[in-house]
Amino acid sequence: MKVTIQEWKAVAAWRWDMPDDDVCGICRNPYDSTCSKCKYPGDDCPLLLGECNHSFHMHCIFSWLRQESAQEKCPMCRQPFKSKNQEAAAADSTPQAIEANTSPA
Amino acid sequence: MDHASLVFASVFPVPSLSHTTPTPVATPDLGYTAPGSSFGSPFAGTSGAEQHHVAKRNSAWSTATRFLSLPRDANYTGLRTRRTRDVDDALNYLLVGAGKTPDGAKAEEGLVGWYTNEVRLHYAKYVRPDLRELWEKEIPLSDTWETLEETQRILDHAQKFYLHPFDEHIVPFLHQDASNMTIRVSRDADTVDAGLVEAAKSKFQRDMQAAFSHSLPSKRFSKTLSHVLYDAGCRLFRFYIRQDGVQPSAAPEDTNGVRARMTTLLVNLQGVGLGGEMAQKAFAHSMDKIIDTFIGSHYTKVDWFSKASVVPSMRNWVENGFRPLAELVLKCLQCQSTNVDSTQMKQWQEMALARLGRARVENLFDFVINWDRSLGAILDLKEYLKLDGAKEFLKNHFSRQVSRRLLHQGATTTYILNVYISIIRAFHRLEPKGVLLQSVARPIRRYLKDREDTARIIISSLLIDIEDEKGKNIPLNGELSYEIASEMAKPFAQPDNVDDEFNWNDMNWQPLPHDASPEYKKSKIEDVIYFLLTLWDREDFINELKNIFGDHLLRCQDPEFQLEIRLLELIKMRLGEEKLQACEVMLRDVLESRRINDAIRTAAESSNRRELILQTPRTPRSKALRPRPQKSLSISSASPPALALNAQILSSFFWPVLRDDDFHVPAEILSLQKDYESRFERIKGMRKLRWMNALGESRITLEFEDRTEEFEHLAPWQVSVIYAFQPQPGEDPSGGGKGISRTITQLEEMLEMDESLVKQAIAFWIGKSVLRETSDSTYIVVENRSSTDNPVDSDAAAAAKELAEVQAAQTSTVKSQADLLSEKKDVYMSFIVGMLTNQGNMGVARILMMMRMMVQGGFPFAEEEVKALLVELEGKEKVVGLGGDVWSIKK
Amino acid sequence: MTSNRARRIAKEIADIKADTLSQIFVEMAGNGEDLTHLRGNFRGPPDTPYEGGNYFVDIRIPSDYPFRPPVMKFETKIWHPNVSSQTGAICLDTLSSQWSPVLTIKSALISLQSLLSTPEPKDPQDAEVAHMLIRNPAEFDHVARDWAVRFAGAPKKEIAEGSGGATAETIKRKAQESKAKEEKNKLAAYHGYNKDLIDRFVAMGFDVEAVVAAFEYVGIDRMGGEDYELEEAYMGDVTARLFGEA
Repeated sequence: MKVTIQEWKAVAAWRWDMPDDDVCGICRNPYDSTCSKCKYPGDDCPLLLGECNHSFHMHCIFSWLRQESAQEKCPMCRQPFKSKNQEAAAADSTPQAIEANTSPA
Repeated sequence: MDHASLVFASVFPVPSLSHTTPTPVATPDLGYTAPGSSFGSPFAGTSGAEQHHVAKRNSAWSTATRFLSLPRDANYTGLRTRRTRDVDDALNYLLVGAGKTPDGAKAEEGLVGWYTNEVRLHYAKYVRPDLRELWEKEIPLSDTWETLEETQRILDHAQKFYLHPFDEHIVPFLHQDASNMTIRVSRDADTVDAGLVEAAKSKFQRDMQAAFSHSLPSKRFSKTLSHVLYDAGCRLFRFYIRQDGVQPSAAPEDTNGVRARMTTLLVNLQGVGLGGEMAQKAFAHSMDKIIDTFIGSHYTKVDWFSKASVVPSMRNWVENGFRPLAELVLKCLQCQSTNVDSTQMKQWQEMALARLGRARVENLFDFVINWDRSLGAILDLKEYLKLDGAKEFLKNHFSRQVSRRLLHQGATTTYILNVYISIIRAFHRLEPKGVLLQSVARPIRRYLKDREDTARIIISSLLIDIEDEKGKNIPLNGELSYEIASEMAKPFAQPDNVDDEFNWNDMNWQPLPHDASPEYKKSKIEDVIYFLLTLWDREDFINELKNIFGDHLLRCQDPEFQLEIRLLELIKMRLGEEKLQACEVMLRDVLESRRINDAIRTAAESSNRRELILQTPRTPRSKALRPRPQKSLSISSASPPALALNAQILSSFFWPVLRDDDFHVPAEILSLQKDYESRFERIKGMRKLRWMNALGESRITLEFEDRTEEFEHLAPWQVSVIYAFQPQPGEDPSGGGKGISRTITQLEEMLEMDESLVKQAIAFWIGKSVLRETSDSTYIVVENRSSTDNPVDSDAAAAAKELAEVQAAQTSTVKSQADLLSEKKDVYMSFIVGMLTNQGNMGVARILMMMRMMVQGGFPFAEEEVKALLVELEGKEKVVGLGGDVWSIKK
Repeated sequence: MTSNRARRIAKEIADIKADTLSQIFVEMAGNGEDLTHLRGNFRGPPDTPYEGGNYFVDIRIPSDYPFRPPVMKFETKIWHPNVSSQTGAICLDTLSSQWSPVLTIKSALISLQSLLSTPEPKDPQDAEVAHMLIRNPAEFDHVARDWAVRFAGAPKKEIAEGSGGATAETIKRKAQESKAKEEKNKLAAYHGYNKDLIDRFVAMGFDVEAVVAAFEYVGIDRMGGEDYELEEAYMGDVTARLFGEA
């Protein structure tokens, strides 16, 4: 007998590739969930990994960095926050631009 | 003599007392008689000064009474007509002259009184026996008319016989006496005169008729009359279903004849004094029954066809059928007011409506089940509800019907749901404000909430497509409710933005019912789905929804997910958007997955083009082992669209806990998955995929020595198992001429698959006659159907098929709470035992709290589950309940 | 979006309630519907004039929380240089310039608690109190203790003056030293495991030593002192060990 597979519909689950504890420190929601403002996870609500290796929902960290009191520092280590995540940084050049896109009108 | 004694005397003929028989013509031996005194007179023996007067009176009395005495026989037809002079004198003396009434004597003891008694005695002796004979026996319903008519005839005859002497011989003298007395008083002497005579005459008549009516058994008479009137009513109104059990005649009734006979009878009864109050009561009784009969008649049958209320025609009957009859009867009975006024008529209409309503309420459950054919009945009830107390009556009775006929173990949840929906629809029509519905639905909702399959049935039913052309064939089995599905198919209701209370243009506006409860305004009573979705706390429902929705999305065959999108919109409209994030994410996942698949396929194709097309067979070894290389060559060259992997990419956080059995998929799939995975991770930075091979589906072709078969909608584990029946590297493809065989254990090891799953798959393939068991737990491919075609095998195959189907039906993609609990039960139990050992006695609530805090991965259960675990541990004699929910370790 | 802020606040409150170890409490002020107005309370730290006192803090959550700090002030009157003796207003950098969105209501309350053991008279909220602490520490201690007894329900016995003529500053220093030492000892007891990780087991009623011993027995990875979720199998082993089954 020979088996020929004609069609294969598979199911897979995705997660953020996060080794650390799995909650965004700012919104306290799991990384795999969304920030407080988003409905859909993943592309619509990506993570941002800082050079300090602290990560947050992108919207959360941008909301923080927009605060004057933040002084552009990571809320965890208070080092200047710089994105390590090339794609995310490339996709939208400035925090303000992303905020403008995602915050409700 | 007092009245009572007289009556008594009339009934029991004791001709003694004070009544004297008329003096006999031939003087009998009366014994001692004082000289100068007349015998036979009650006035004998008075003082000597009145001797003359007394003597004269006695003589007159004797003459008059002899003249007026009635014949002493039953044949009382002959009437004396002529008075002699003696008699004239005597009557004149006694009725007009000095002999009228002796001093100190009562009026009755005058001549009129004497005659009255004479009549009574005669009646008792000669007339009553006839009547007694007539009434003695049971009167069959068929004889009621005749009995009354005969009674009336007898009495009428007697009355005429008694009245004649009175009219002829007493009345003229009374006239004369009256004119003597009144001549000086007034110019209207004649009137006064006539009045006095009338009074005397009617007193006589009254006394006589009292004797008549007292001699009849009043209850039976009344019943008989009542039946006659009822019978007349039934005939006049042509009722076919009667309360007295009498079969109406097949021939059309002669209503005029019936009416005439009834009128005559009533008038005549009235004439002999049998009308009056007694007859009126009988009449009232019969009218009551006539209304009842009307309510039960064909006139008020539920109008199933034009679905209209019968109340207007019922009111019309009361006004134009019942009222004229009542007026006619009252007229015959010479009642004071023979006109039925409109207030009285309205009362009758309300009475009829109340009875109609109660009759409808008794069958309300059936009307609900037959909604909306039963619209007419519901509209009748709507009228009924306007009456006082009607709501309470309906509520109580319907609730009783519901608890008796619906809320019991025998009723399936689907049936209860369907009936509940009918109740919602019918009651919405009955009382649009929904207060009644709220109260009758409360126990149903509570009951449904307690049934564990309610949510599943509701949600699954919401997801059936009854519009589907194939929909007619959807097995609407116990698990799916067509009623719910059809609610879903209705167009979206207008959003409830317009507040009814402030819609000034609404001509149908009604004030809120006074018995509305506070949360009343919130209920949107026309919305069946809203009622169903609000059976539970929102959170509980949404959790259940999440599980079923997820399971459904993974099974769904519609690539557009139209029904699912619609359902979610619908639920969002009712429960608000905030809580439905998980469902929205799940839906988007399945929709998005197609785009991801396309993107990945495009990427793969372009890179494949760059590479050489030398990888045609992804598993080179299988090519080497292929038994018929020629055919396979033609396949590979003719099938350039290489097998592509389509994946559903799930945002794991938002999905329910899914089945996650781990096993090896076929190598070619594994490599496709790896490929997909790496491309996915390249496109979606920082994300990783985990394949859930328990889920998904596949289509395969099996080529045997003698046939080729295609199988669709297979689960991956089914494919993996059959795939493993192909020769392995270095294995003799012919299996030593016997074909490749595998044991369960071998398969478990090869595939690293759970034994139960292996067995399920084997059973499935045996059912398809692809595998057969050679010896215990060893299976072989059926390469040639004909060679192995023996009945034993096909029986086994059939049995296996059945088993596989049963198991497949039980296989859900979502892990149920119960599965989760049983999976981790050992962990939980050892945790509980440890905690009780370490911490001493604890209450359930505290155990739950500790477990929620401490158990890895959380403890997504409630106190109930903790209790169940404790009870199980108690059974194992590890813990003991100390009562009051406190538990301790068993020492 | 207020509902998202509410979600985080609700989560934080639940966390605080679940943590019975830290002795930090929070509840909703007012009628219990308003998640933006809370009341926290904690004990005065040991070896300070505030020991044994119960301090209530009024907490208001701003609309852009957690990007702005919660606004806190003492409801209980307290004699402390960084707290206004009149209004209860607090001067603490964590609650102003040094706020970070990863901080929580609980961490802010813990900061307040530790502020009581480490007054900062150079950055005073209440000049009079600060002045007293610098000029006359003994009197400061006396007043602070008196206020703790009068307003915070602290027991009457005078802890701070028991050591005979010691100044507030030495007491303070001692207190700090002993506290640091204790912390150190405490941390040492964790043998390099993350404190929270161990504490989750301690919360079940075990000694730190026992838990750590069980961890070492089972061979749990220290992960460089980071907190992480144990795999289920390990979890089971540790509990089994703790409950004396293995």
